[in-house]
Amino acid sequence: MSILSPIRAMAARIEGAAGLETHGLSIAYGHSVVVRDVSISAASGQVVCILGRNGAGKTTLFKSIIGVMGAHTGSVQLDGRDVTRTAPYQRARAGVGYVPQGRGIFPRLSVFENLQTGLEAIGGADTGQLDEVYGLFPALKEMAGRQAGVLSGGQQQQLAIGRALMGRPRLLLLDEPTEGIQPNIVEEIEAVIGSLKGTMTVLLVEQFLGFALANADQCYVMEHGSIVLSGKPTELPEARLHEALAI
Amino acid sequence: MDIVLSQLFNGLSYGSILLLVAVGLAFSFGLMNVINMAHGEFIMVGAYTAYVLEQVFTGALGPAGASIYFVAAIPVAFVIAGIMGMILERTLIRRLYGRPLDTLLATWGVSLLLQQGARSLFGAQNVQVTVPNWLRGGIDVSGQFTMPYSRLFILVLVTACVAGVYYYIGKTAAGRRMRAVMQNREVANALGVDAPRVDMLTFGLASGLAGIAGCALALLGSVGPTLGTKWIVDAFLVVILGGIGQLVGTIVAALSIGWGNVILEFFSTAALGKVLVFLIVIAFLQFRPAGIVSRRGR
Repeated sequence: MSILSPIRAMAARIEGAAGLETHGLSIAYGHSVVVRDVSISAASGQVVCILGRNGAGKTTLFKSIIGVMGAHTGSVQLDGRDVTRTAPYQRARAGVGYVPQGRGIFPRLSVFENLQTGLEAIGGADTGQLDEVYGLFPALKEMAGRQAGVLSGGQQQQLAIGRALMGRPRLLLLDEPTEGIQPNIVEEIEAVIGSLKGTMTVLLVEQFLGFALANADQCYVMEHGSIVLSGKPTELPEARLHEALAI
Repeated sequence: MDIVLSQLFNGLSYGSILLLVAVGLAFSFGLMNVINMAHGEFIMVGAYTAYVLEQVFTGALGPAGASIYFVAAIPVAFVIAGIMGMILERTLIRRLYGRPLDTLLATWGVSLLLQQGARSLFGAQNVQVTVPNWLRGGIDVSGQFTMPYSRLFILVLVTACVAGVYYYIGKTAAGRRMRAVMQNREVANALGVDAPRVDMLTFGLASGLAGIAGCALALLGSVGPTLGTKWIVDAFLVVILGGIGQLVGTIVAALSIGWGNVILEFFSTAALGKVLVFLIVIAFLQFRPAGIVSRRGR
């Protein structure tokens, strides 16, 4: 059995990937607008990558899509339904999963409790997700009773991804899932993310350009809070892409 | 020997009452970072609930009512204070999260309103709650040392409350949600946890526990509008000394302050003993600013 078999089993039980669109989305911290007029779209089942330098506004955009930051102007639509004014927990219950930058695990909850919290999006019912996540990340099963705060960075990232998958999301937002993690776990995480393709819609902020371009159906490049470049990975002008990312 | 036993028991009793008062604050202040100056008034609400139920029960059942009212008073005080706490969270505190000074001032205002409300309803004079028959008297350990049933009952009540709190926080889904929200509110919310509802329930639980503390205090003395005020500073001290958000620390701190107070008062005076306890706590916090129990993690 492949390590990725559980994700395929999990995907088979997900009702269907969700499409996402933002229209003219602007986001502000107080009076300071940090994301301006962003319109992106992720069709059902696509992997869409958001690229950009640090401070370009990628994480802020994600926070607005999941609802923890309100939109200054514009709208967020999930499967054509306007969710701009919907609370974050309601968006999660509508099928939006989230793996935050910096992992965002609950350090003083056990690994098992962290995963259980991922079930909140579907009313707390475990219909086999726990075994599937343990199948994907066996280290989590071994550490199930440990406090999540004592896990290594890579294990915490696995936990954050596993926790998001527990809620059987139809749209998964991954914010720099390989940031600051040892290479062998990066490979494992990248294999899992790659396997999600086609099973759910994935919105990904990723610093490894090669991985992002290899897996994405569509890319958006952000600069100073705005989208400056978009298209299929093969269509993006390499020089302009490198200039925007300052590689 | 009797004196030593007596002081140990007095310290344990005082510490347990302090713990009952502080355990609610451990939620609102320790977990939610809300400085609720009205916490003492929820204690007062609990004490007046015991008084009202005594009147109702004795009115309906005669002298028999005075024996059983207290059994009903504990859950009723928990519910009434809890509901009042939830109303306060939903109407006022929710708008002030992240603004501790505003919260302090606003809840202080609420505490004054509640005190005045109690004066208007029950009069400025303190009222006396009749201690039920089964809580009168005590265990005579020796000729000079008796353990009063009422204080033993409070010890049992505190133990039950702390055990209940531990079970709720550690073993129930609601407790896990509460810990998740307190550790990372944004992410918990994004995972499907209704964080505003968790806030309301947590604050309600904190207030309900204060209500139970009020019931217990009604057994020990008269009940008045400022009953909770004199406990509130010590209760904050317990939570800070124990370590913010650490229930084990809160328990250790309450008992330490309880015994510290009794021992130092025994060797000095009541006022000097209290001052010495404050000084020791301040000195301790210089060495361990995070309190007795501090958090660790990557």
